[in-house]
Amino acid sequence: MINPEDAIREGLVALLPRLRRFGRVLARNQHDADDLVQMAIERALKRAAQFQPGSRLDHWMMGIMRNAWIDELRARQRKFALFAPEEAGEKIGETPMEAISSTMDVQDAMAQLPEDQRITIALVLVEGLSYREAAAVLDVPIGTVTSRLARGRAALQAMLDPEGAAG
Amino acid sequence: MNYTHETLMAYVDGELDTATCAEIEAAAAADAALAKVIARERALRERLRGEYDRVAEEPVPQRLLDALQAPVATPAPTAPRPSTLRRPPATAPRMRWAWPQWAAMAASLVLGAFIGTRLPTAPAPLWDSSANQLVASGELAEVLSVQTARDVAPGAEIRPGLSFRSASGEVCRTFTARAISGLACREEAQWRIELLAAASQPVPGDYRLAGAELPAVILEAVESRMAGDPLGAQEEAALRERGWRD
Repeated sequence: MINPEDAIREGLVALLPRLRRFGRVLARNQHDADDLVQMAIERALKRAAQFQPGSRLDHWMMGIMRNAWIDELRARQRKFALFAPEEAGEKIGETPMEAISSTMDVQDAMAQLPEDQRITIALVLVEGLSYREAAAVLDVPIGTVTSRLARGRAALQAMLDPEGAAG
Repeated sequence: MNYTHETLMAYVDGELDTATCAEIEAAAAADAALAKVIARERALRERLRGEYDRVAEEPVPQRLLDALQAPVATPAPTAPRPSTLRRPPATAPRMRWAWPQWAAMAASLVLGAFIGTRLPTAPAPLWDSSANQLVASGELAEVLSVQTARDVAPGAEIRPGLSFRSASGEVCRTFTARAISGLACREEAQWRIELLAAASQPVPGDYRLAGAELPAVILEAVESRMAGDPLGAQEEAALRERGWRD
């Protein structure tokens, strides 16, 4: 018999790269993203008993990360109610050279999306969850997932591939 | 185009049944505009995936590995993380202890000071630095001494990796113990630990070459020390019989 907390520690070791990837979609800068993963690990271990054995640990963790991120955003908004979030200001300092490279483009474009759309896009397009799984992680109906995906994708395509819209 | 954009997205996301997929594919073969929309959605998926996959390939920062090992902060004192093999008894509810129990506990503490790793509430340490050098102890020493590559249980927390002879004639073995990898060489009846590093991430479903999961710093150390080729399981078994020396 392995206790739930140990089982989660074991499972998380292998998941860390994916959780960091998901964290980067949420928080964008590496330090904040890793803070978020760390916070999620701590929460997960504390709530180990709530994890349903046999269900997907990765999905459970993504839900925890998403909630932790929303909490973090709210805390930031309370603290800096008068200032735009850090992410919104990032584009200003960029040189045109950086803006051209494709790596900047994708993350910049993602950063422009509303939080809900960005998270949903990340779960389905990056993490490969099904609509049903994403709906479960986000605790919303499937219809909400599909409409967020549609809006998020349309916005991303408009930013990343404006020429291709003609089809 | 007879399909809504949402249907096409669902198609690209693998949400549609095979019959509908086949219909869409047939339609796309005959309709360049439809094919273009699909290609564009696929390209977006791939571009996003490619972008963020780079993050997943970065080395995992040590602090996250540490967070995984950290005991959970709860009001009641919790036992440090036990190994799965030597589990301490469940913590009994707090109670007022009678004198004989204190005496027994004091005795077991004294005993514990002598046998170190056997104190039931201590996290059985995997190494010991008491003699001015780091040597494998507890389960790690056992695994290194007893297991050949063939004996490793799938998913074992502590397992040997590569075995080899060093240029100075010692037998050395790499190992992974939970989130840590290391290199140990046999010295007299002990495994002297040469190096410890955060383990690299196992790739799920990857067929595992011995050493494939070792972090680069360990592999470099192996390369700089190794004389000849890594030892096979049979050679390991033969060495085990001889106490890991030639």
